[in-house]
Amino acid sequence: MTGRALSGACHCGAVRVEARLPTGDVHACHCTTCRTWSGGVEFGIDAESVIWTGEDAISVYRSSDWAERGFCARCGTHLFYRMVDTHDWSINPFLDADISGLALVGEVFVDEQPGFYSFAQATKRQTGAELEAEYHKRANQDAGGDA
Amino acid sequence: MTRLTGRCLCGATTLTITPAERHIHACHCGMCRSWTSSAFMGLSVAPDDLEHLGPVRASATSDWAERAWCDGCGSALWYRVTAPGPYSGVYHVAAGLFEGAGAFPMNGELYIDKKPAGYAFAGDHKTYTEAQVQAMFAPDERGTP
Repeated sequence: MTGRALSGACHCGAVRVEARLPTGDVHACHCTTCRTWSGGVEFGIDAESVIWTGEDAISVYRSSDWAERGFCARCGTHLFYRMVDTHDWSINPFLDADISGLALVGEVFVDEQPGFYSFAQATKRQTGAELEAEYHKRANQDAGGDA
Repeated sequence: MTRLTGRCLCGATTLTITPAERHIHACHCGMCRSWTSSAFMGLSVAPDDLEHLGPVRASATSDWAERAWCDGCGSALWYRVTAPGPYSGVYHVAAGLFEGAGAFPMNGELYIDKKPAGYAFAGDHKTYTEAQVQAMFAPDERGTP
């Protein structure tokens, strides 16, 4: 899936997005915040070179110290989750109706997953603590420090 | 049946519901997935069994349904059938708003033929295709949800 792109829009068409997908890998988040926002487990796809049009219609909600979530103020469509310090994007993969070949490869915050659903696929499953440790390790490496 | 009180992410919107059944269903239709970045997980609630307080916004997303969200944080609140028919006015309220809803089992998956191949829920749920859902919700011919 390397080199693929995402091209999509919200329900009302006020917001459009174009982005590059470095891997095409989809992650699911079971954390309470994601489930409260989306109604259930939330999917995201890592994206780069993200270009939004119709930014006037985007509402951004700061959902934690480290992340914010965007949605269309006119139709409520969920757009993205973004880390505020690194600006890493996790985009709603389903904004692109024609996107195909997506694969769920990872699940995070499995320690907050309720009992009423689980996925049939074998994925890399991480607790919130494991995810945070990996994130700090990567940030440290990026900064040239010791892990 | 138990009354449940839930709130959105920012806390500005509160919903009090009496679910029609102690089950959660998921919807894989393209509109529910693009709306919530999820396979929308909902609880059925009769028209008179929902009260809401706070900055609720709703939009008619098709000729036969509306979708509602919190204006403050974008939390998905409900999908509601607006067209006449056996399910007119029925809410499908986002399960994630309610802490206690996690104890309810999932018993159905809607629009299973619209689910991308890249994910699937484990377990033996009753599944419904687009044609089966449309026959159930709106006996006359209608378009997409």
